[in-house]
Amino acid sequence: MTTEGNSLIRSFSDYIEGPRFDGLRGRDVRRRLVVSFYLVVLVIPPVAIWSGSDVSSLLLLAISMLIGMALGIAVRGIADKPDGYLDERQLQLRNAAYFRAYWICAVIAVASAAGMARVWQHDQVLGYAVFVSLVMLITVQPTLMLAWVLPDDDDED
Amino acid sequence: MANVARIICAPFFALARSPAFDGVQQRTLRRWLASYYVVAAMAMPLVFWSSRNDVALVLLGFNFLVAAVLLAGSIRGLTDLPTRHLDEYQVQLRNDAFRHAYWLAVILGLAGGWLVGELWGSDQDLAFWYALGIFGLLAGLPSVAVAWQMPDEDLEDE
Repeated sequence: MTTEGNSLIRSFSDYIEGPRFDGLRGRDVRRRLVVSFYLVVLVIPPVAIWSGSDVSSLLLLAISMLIGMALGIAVRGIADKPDGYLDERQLQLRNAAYFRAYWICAVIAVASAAGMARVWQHDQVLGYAVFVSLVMLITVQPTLMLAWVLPDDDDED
Repeated sequence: MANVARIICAPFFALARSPAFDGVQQRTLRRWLASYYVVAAMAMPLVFWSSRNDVALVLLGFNFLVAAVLLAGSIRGLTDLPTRHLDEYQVQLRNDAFRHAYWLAVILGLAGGWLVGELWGSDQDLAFWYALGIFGLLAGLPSVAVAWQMPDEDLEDE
């Protein structure tokens, strides 16, 4: 990776670890965010069926992305940072999160892709909605796992 | 419940630690076994698609089981044993393998799932065999990653 790229990641990392986001880092807050994320993402396909348009799906997608970003900040981006930016404990936590997320994501990916292929020919709006939910669930899953299991910062100390 | 799980898993634990697998603890052999596993998993749907020969499928199913047992034995069941049966280094190795396998599993799952969904309308038998092959691959990917990374057992001891 280039030096510019490294310094960009470093400054982003410093930014999200700053005290301005401490309000998001409590376990209760994180768990509420996890539940909200699941609710929003799972509601995308039914809302698409009910409304019959892509707009509602896009709106819910934007909300789920915001919650996903908040979760990423709440866990200090541990799930997505490269190895060089994490200490040994964070590396362990990250890898354990991927271990926990593996089967959930594998099953979700196969089942949803199969469902999507069946639905796509009859209802493209629903097909897009399922696809959007699926991508959000899979990309954020390790962060969700971390957000759920990490102790409060005080407990960690 | 825990006792039932222990009884069911006991033969597997014994198998994973069995000296019968001492001969496959070299990295080169593990990598061959990992490749064999991937080919065995993919062979089932491909043979069904090309020939629909039941005898060949039974043989390939058996072949897949052999590949799975050999691969699990070569990594001492690292990806299948509960965490309490592993030491810290093994847990680290296992979790790292799951992380490496994660995105590949997602891509394979999406592509495979789509294929199964497409086939379901026209040929349910073929879709079933594809689903079986995909789950076989997904189940074994972390083991394949461990087999690829794990050092020779002698080196490990040092």
